[in-house]
Amino acid sequence: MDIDYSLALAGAAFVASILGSMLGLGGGVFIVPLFTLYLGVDPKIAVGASAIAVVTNSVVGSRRHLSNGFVNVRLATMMEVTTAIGAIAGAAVAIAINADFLKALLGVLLVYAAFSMMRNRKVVHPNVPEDEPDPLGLMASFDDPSTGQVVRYIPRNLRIGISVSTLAGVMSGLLGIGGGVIKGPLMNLVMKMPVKAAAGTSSFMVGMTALATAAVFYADGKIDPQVAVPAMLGTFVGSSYGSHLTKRIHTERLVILFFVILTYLGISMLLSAFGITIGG
Amino acid sequence: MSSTTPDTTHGEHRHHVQQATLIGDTIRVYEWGFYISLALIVVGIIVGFVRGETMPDSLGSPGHVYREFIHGHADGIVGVGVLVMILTPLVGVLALAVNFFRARDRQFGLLTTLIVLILIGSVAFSYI
Repeated sequence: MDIDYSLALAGAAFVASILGSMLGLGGGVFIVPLFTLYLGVDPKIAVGASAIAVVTNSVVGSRRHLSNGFVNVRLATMMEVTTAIGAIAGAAVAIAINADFLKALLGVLLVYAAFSMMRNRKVVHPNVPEDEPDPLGLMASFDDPSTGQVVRYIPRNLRIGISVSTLAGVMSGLLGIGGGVIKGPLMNLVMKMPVKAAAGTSSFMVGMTALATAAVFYADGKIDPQVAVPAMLGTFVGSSYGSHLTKRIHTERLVILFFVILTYLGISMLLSAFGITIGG
Repeated sequence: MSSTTPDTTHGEHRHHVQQATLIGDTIRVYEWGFYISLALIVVGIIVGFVRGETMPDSLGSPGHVYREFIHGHADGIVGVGVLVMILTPLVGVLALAVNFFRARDRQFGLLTTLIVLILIGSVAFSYI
């Protein structure tokens, strides 16, 4: 194994997981573009390594999110059934289709994520009353450490949520991302969940979704330890460090920074799909 | 809905206690999965450096990984570390399913079991 190359992969995964864990996106949305555009990794090997890194990111992040009460496990359970099926279908398709199509699809998704995050950055939902009807038992609450207040919510628009989450599962299988880039904004904007609950629940689901993706790629021999192991090690460190860093950075500045990064990577991926390379 | 269904009738404290009971084992599974996977990968890399073994460009089947692991080869040790990480969310969800049933929440217990079966199916059918 070339040590310099391994360190470069681990470094890219470290940066990707810091960026991803800051807004609960998971690292996958950054890993595939960084690996393919700048480190010359084959897109399908990059997707396989990304799926493993996303599982890692979810396991590391979910320990913290579960302890903090940010994960709505009932909602995650309801949404994950169809999402996991979507991921298996997506992964099966990904192995068979053209790599440039995968790049173009991820490019479009990155640009979408950038704009949805910009739109998302000032959305705050008021607490629901404790006695509000909740026939499915999905009401949840947590203590928000940044305000010291109890935040209480009921996820809304479940049918749309489950449908779009299934699509996120398909995208996860196709692209090796966790789908947090779709589920996070979906839960916050459409299902009216607080940002921390959306990030926590999404992060927990992402591990299960990416597991299904990783299993399909593993069975097809697309998990290359020379790529996946540095990605995991970078993610181990990056996702832990990213959550600490988040507390010190002003959220709105963070979102603007991500908007720039995601847009740049998205356009780079799109151009790369058509044979045009920018910035390396 | 089940007796664990939360805030509307039982208040914040009861909800927090019920939530902690449901997810406690899952948190422990995630912690152990993380530490075991990390330890195996680091040991595998050290073994590889010491013996001058190179990593293959594919992990190989579970049987191959197991044989390499038993013989103490670096790729087997790293491979088991990777597989432990992949399987950690599966075991974590299994623990959640068991705790839903323990809390007599059959509906969500069954849903969670269905997810476990889908995830096991995704691993199993990948080899068909």
